[in-house]
Amino acid sequence: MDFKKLDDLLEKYWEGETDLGQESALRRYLQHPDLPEKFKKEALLFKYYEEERKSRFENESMEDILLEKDLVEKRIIKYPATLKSIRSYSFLKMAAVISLIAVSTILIVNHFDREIKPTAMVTDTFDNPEKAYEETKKALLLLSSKFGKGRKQVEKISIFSESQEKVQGKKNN
Amino acid sequence: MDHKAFNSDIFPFKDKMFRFAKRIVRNEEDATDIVQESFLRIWKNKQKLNTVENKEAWCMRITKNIALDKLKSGHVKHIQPYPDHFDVSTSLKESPEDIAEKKDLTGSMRKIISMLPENYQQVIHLRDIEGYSYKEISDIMEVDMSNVKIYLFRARKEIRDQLTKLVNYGL
Repeated sequence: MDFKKLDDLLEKYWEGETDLGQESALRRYLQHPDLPEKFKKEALLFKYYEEERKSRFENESMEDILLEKDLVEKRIIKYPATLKSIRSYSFLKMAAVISLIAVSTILIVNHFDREIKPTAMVTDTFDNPEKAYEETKKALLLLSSKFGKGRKQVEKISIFSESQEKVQGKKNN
Repeated sequence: MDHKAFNSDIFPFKDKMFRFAKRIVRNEEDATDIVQESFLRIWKNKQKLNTVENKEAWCMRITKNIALDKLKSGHVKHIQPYPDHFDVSTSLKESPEDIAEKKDLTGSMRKIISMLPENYQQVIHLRDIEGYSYKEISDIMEVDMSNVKIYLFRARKEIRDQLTKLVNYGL
């Protein structure tokens, strides 16, 4: 066998320049029992293509296909109960999802309601001026006591800063 | 066209249609469904067969379109490497070492080709496995002949590079 010719043919093949006749000849050449090692990769490739060509479709005629399709149809008609149960199962799933959404919505709305409403409601005092005065007084006393506490803290800070200045003054001197 | 003529003129394309569908969807079960669906569609449109120039290319094109539709719609069960195909009569004559080597080789080749872009895979399949002409491939793939040549050149170049790596470095 002329391996030089095979070499040239393969080069043309890789360049996409071979015709169908030359590609068929390549298939024959690459099955040669004494093929040199340098053609190994091409031999592997063409062997793989040969294997792929062996794959077959199982149906032997158009009647086979029609028969098979017909059997599939019959199988569906034969088991309507199964189809019904599938449908009711889907309905149950839908119902479960809707219930879940409804329950979640109620819980969220309740949660926000609770957050908005104050925990202790103050009764209205518009109609009773004396009670209104008392309530206002209580509120102002509460405010002043808190304010007083704040002032004491500020005083402590000012004593601290004064002492700090004195210490620094000594150091500087 | 009656059943008899259909079986004798059109049905013999079944294996090529099956292999092409399998190349696209990568599993035998879906490929079988696609070929059955293709034949039913061809049967329904059998009056068109009289006006079609190349019946085989027309059948292959229908197969390709159904396979691609199925792939796009996500109705394909799962894309996986094809199960290894062995002819029992051949396997019986081969030693376990031969079978293991062949299995390994088939897997590597399949991997190399499956890494190619979809158009390249189709053109390699139609030309190097099925032996179609550029014109037929152009009809089947519905692309220009110049594009078929470009796809084929690029696909073979990629296969050559990958094969060189596999043979020389075992990658």
